[in-house]
Amino acid sequence: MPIDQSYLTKVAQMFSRIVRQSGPYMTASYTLIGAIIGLSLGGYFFDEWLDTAPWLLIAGLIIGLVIGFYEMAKVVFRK
Amino acid sequence: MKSIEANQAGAPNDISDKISSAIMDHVSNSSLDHPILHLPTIFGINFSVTKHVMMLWVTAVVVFSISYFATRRYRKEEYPVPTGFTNAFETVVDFIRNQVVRPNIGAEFSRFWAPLILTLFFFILTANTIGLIPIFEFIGGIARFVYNISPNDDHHIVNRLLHGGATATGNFNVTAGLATVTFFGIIVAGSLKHGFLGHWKNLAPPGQPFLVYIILIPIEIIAMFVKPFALTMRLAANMTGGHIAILSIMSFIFIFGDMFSPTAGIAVGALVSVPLNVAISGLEIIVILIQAYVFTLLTAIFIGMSIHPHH
Repeated sequence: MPIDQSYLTKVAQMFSRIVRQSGPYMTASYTLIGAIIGLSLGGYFFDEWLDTAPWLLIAGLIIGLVIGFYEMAKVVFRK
Repeated sequence: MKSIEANQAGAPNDISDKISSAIMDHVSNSSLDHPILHLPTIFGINFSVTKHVMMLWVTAVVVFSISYFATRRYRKEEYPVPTGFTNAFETVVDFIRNQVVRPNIGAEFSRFWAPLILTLFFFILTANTIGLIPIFEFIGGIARFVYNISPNDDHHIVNRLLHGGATATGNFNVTAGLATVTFFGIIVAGSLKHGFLGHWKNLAPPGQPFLVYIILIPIEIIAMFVKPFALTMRLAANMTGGHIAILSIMSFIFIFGDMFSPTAGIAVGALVSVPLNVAISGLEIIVILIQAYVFTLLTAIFIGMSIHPHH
């Protein structure tokens, strides 16, 4: 069965356009998850080190949420 | 049923222990007790070559060889119109430059930043792909069944090669190293365009009250580190997760074989494990492409955001 090259080209172009447009939103979502996980882990390890459980873990979680949502807001409300 | 009864009695489950240690050994780096090449410890750092370090070298050699082979005609100026492998290589380079670098970083900066983005793409893609090919399992099988090399002989080079996983990008240290390149790329891009101080000033939006800056500046500084961290976690977790899924499904054969009979294990393998793993391996091929693409796309977006700051 012959492959329709023009159809494949259209699909490739559409895929790349969609991925390009979704790039900033991917950034926002990954930063949100990264901030929450990263700062929570940081808080957990500092808790272990300084024996302050669970306060630094909670602080890391809250700061991670604030930073993650701030970065998301920057993308969503971009002019 | 002996394993279930043993578990209920609180005794260790042998087959589960063996499977979990085999899976962990396959996805983690080889320990410094089994290095492939012994090197001295300098300033408290052991420079011995582990499996993932060797795989990084292998990846670097493969990427260099492919790039050198694909571009030889351009360097010799023999064939101005690309054909065959050169044409395929050029298509990928063209795609990354036109669909990733130019829209996100800008056409005027593409000649400067495209080499970095392309290097990241080809390096990650090659490392991911090599991890999907069971080279060392094949070598291990040949060593055991053809050459009768004992698995307990740790001094034999073949046995030292079998410790640890082959996917270098499944190691968080490797992806952290790649994300560090992105981190410095962001700073260099902003500094080249706006000057060193100008880049740091661009982190926070201008014209805000002083109190807002007290909150915003720490947030922006932490966010600067969070972005590469997200890149690190995403790539390594995706690579490790795929391998764990494949090995867990394959372990059904041994679990059912141990619980019921070898025939049950073979039946589960033929009807469930192998067909499911074929499908997951197909999915993994898509995953290795997408992860390499996403890493380079996000790097390009971050560098672009540093060059063209919008608030």
